[in-house]
Amino acid sequence: MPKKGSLPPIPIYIKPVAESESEILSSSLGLTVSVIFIVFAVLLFVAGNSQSEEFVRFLGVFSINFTSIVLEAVPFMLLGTLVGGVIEVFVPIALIDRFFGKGKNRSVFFAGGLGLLFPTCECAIVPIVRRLILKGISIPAAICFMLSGPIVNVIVAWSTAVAYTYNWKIVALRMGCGYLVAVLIGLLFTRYSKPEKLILENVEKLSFRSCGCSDEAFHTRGIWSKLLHAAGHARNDFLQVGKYLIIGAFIAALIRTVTPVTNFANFSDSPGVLIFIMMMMAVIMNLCSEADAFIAASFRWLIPGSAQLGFLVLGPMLDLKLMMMYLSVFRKRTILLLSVLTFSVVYILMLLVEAFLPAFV
Amino acid sequence: MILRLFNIALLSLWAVFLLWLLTYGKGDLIRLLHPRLWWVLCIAVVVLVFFLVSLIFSRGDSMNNKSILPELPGLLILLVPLFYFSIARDARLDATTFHNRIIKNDNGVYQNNMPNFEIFGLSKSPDMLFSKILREPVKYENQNVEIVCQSFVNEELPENTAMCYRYMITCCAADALPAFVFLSHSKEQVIENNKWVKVKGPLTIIRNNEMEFPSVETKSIEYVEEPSFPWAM
Repeated sequence: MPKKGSLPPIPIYIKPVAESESEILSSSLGLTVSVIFIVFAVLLFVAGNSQSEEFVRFLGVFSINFTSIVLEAVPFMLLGTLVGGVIEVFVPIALIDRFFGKGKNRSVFFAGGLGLLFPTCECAIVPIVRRLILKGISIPAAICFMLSGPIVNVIVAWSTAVAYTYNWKIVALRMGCGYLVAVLIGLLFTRYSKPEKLILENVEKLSFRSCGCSDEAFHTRGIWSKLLHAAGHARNDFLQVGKYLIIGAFIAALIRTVTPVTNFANFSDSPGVLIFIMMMMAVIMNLCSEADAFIAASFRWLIPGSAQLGFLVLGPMLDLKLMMMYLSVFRKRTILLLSVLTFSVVYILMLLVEAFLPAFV
Repeated sequence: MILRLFNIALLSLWAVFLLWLLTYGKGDLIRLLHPRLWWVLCIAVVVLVFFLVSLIFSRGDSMNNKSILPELPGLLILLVPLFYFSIARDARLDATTFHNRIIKNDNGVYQNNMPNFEIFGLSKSPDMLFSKILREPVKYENQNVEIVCQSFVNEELPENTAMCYRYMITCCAADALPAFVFLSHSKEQVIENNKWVKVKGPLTIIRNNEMEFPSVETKSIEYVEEPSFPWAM
């Protein structure tokens, strides 16, 4: 209401809300990628009838890799979507605002350690983060949690300890570096003036405001009704994000099948180059934050600890499967920025570890 | 409405697939996923059923009012793993995979990937002798052993020497890493590559650069069927 004596507001024509150009482009690109993937997957499947024994063998090993990655990852993603749905319906907005609200740098520091309270693997993290963003968590804090969650948690710490025969130095370094990198990148994103531009417009549209979860009438509903509502959110997330997981798993399996592991260790003796190579290997070959410790540990006699640590820290933050799943939340340029930033920060940190820390493996 | 029916069919298919794997398809599942993670598949079935219930009882869900065409590719993608499973059932990780996944040091010496202690609890299966030998070779030194593993014959290996390996699985087949023992055999014994073999003989230990490699002096070798649990743990 205008104050007494002040002029009434000038009526301004507001253009009806329409799908923006970037969204149309984004969804059509997503559709194109999906169609290309299906065509390729079908052709490869049909080629299984080939007469070439070598190709049939390759396709067999690829299928083992692909289906095993999917069987391992899909349950965790389902759980992640369910947790996301429960957060959407049951976690009060006031609580999110208090600890992870927009414009608070401390929210980034909290988010970096959230994995200690809620152990989350990398397959589950993206749907959870997607829902947390919709719920109102600041985007830098969400990014920080997304990067640190699959590293800074007790399950991953345990698997790292086992893989490295209870070498607690590498466990502490992995978790410490994971936290540091995630917080640094989260803080860098707080400098971004319009963080909402980092995420897809259609993610914003899924906001709780449109589904009725925040209505007063919704809170009077029974628990069963609320649970069904949470399951509805989770189901929609699974159907939206699941395809990216499958595409990512497909690419990861393809690379895993054709790339000999031994090649990575024999390229150079320079720690700087080996760190870079192991980080590249993390991007293209990492499968799960729990299992990657065993892969890294198999290199312990061959390469410096810093290079192994680079693999352990970067893998759960930035692998092919994750990058595909990021497409369900972030814009393409955000993913590019996030990838470059994460890779660079981890690389610089590992060079510092190599230069200043005594041997720890 | 069509999208809703399609979603119901898709979720049902996944739930039935996982349920089948956990009941009748255990023999296939064991070749893909570590048994300690099977409980996660059980939870996945419960979650999928929960999703189905919510889909059947949902009213006025915006997803249900969408057109099917733009959503169709995304939904079809979710079916892709089910088709590839049909190929994976008959395929096996073989000697070429072994060659791709084994790590060699600068001197060309193969690295064993077996940690020297039990990771996920002792298995009572007699097949686990292979893993136990790799974990504590000294305990079995100069004893007669009988192991079942896959043969690997390669020109890079010394004369009258082969390797016998299993994959050590941590989570799934994609992350499995080879663990091996050497087989030293007589000139008369010809070992075929890439076969499951039962080997009997005394165990010795080859020491190289602070690393210990178990080696079985092959007294007898028999070609056998793939064991029901083909992994090392």
